[in-house]
Amino acid sequence: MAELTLTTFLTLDGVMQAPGGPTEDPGGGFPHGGWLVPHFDADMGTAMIEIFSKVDAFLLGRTTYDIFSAYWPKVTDPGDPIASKLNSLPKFVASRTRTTFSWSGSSHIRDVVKEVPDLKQRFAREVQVHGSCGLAQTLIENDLIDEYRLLTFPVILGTGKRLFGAGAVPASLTLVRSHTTGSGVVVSVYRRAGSLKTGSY
Amino acid sequence: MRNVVVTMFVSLDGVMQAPGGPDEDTEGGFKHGGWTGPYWNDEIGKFKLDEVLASDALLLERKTYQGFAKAWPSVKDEDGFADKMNSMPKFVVSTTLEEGEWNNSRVIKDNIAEEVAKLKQQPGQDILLYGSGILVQTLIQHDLINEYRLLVYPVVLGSGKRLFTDGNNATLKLVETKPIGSDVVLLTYQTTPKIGESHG
Repeated sequence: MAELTLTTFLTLDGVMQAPGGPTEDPGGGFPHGGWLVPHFDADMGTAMIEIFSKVDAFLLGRTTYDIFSAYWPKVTDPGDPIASKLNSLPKFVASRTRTTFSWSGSSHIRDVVKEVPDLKQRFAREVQVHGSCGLAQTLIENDLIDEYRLLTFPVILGTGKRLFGAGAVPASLTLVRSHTTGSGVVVSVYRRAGSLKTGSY
Repeated sequence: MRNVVVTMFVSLDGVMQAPGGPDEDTEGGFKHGGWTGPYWNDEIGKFKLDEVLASDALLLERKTYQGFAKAWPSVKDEDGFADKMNSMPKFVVSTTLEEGEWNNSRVIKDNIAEEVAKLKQQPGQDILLYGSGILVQTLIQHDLINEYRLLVYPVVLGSGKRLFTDGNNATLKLVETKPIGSDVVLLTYQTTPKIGESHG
């Protein structure tokens, strides 16, 4: 059975909106699109390649799907460790507004909460969510994410869509590992560890 | 020239409210007070001790100050943490307090940015800032923070006051990341001077 993992770029204040460019997701008048770009480095590329090496299928929100499908099909080098995965492996797109998706290997998911267990059964290693802020909220609220890979950038934006929004269910996690890239990105891996425990001292 | 160091416990979702206990700060109906409790370990204790010993002033907003002023005077510990907390100068930012009840306190009533800038000009060690969520926002807006030490706990709270609230933006420089205990990560960031600011 596969695990459901979520990989996302985050600011220090927890924002995940439009890391790659100003047109990715300007929703809510977000003015900081492209905040990741000045911090991209080879270490970060290595971390992403390692993550993509474990994928069997993708589960994406519609906005992230649109961003990916506009770019990755043009990267046709079969040796590209990210494009080769995205272009060839199954992609399940969660959308309430659209049902057909033209990128080869894509299919629609209507009720993600209901279908995730089945998706996990169908694959052996990882079903990976990348970005997909809206979808992530649904997955977090329903405690469906087995592992988080958070790439935290040294910026504070003060606005934008957050990974852990107001609907996040209180939870404990376990830190699996954490390392830093040359440009100051913290790559942390967390797994779920049950309900929140508190105490005082 | 002294540095203002914001040292904070934060959840993975960026919340800093009531890390130490259920009654610490229940504002907004916050129910998860004490979320750092299960993760306490000697390494965290050592880090907090070294930090306080390398500082010679506290800068606090009223609520945090009053919580501390109630708790610390009766605490004794072998390591000298409480002694240092009780003896070192405290600057409390408040419009309502006339004077601080805790030893060696001075109230900053207004002109917060100027007063803090003046403090920073004095010779000495770090000025430590614990908790004090609203004061932090004011200091961010006036570029008065030099360093953040964030102990990131592996918990998602889903509610509560956040360290970084809406409206402020900045680029920081990561200077250190260190696991501290098994599940907590210490992230140290320094602020980068704005264009035009001198490095002297």
